[in-house]
Amino acid sequence: MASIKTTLSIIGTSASSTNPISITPTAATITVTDPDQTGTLDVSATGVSGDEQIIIDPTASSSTAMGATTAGSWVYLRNGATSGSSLLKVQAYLKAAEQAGGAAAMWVTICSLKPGEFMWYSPVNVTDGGTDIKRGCKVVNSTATATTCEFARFNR
Amino acid sequence: MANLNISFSAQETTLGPDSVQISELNKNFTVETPTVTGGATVAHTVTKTIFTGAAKDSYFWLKMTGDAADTGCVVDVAGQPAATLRSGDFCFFRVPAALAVTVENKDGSSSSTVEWAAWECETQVAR
Repeated sequence: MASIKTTLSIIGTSASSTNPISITPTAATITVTDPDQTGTLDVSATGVSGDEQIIIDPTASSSTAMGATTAGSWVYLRNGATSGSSLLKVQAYLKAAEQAGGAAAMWVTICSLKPGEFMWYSPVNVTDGGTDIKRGCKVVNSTATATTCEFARFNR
Repeated sequence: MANLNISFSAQETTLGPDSVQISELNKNFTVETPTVTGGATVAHTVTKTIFTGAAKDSYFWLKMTGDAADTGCVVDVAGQPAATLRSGDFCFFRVPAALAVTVENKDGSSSSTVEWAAWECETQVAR
């Protein structure tokens, strides 16, 4: 078990004088359990083997390092490219009742990251989904430009 | 048009070689103005729309400022679960254009409060 102090500072510059908003800082200390995982994943161009990479595997057991857990996870994702046109789609694994895509659990895109963009969030955990599915997190390159995904994943 | 100067860090305090340190310092994201902000109280077992979406994508920050029972809330994008937050937690991600963000309070008896801000991105990308 370990603690992680997270901070986020967002400062608007050259912003509209009518509504400049800055958030400085948002801080939270979260408690996590081992194992944590970090790294950089190669994400090939679309249609090429390796064009998607799983961060949290919905088919793995909760005791598996990369599997979903009942308590949930914290995930940091970043499109490792600094320029160019690559686009990383971030997907969640949702059961049928939670998405309009089909009659079975499936991967659903929740947002996309351009080069240099990052996100920090706690994917919906197994408990929130009931007992019928595991939860997952996956990144998919939807462009013809290969990129990387820098990631960190912590168990709550 | 405006710039957002964003810094994010996650500093793990533990002994050993696997201590994680993440620093995103002084990243500049270009955004449109105006910024939209808000706060809401979400009653127990209620799903409440807090952000109705923008013409383009938005950088979205959300913090749960109060959750007496600490059961947690689920953050939905376009009605689809995207994240879970407990009291004191925050998240930051990009919301696709025209999609609403809602908060589901999963607790059976306690309300939760959230604060949020959204900055419309300069460009919109395929979802």
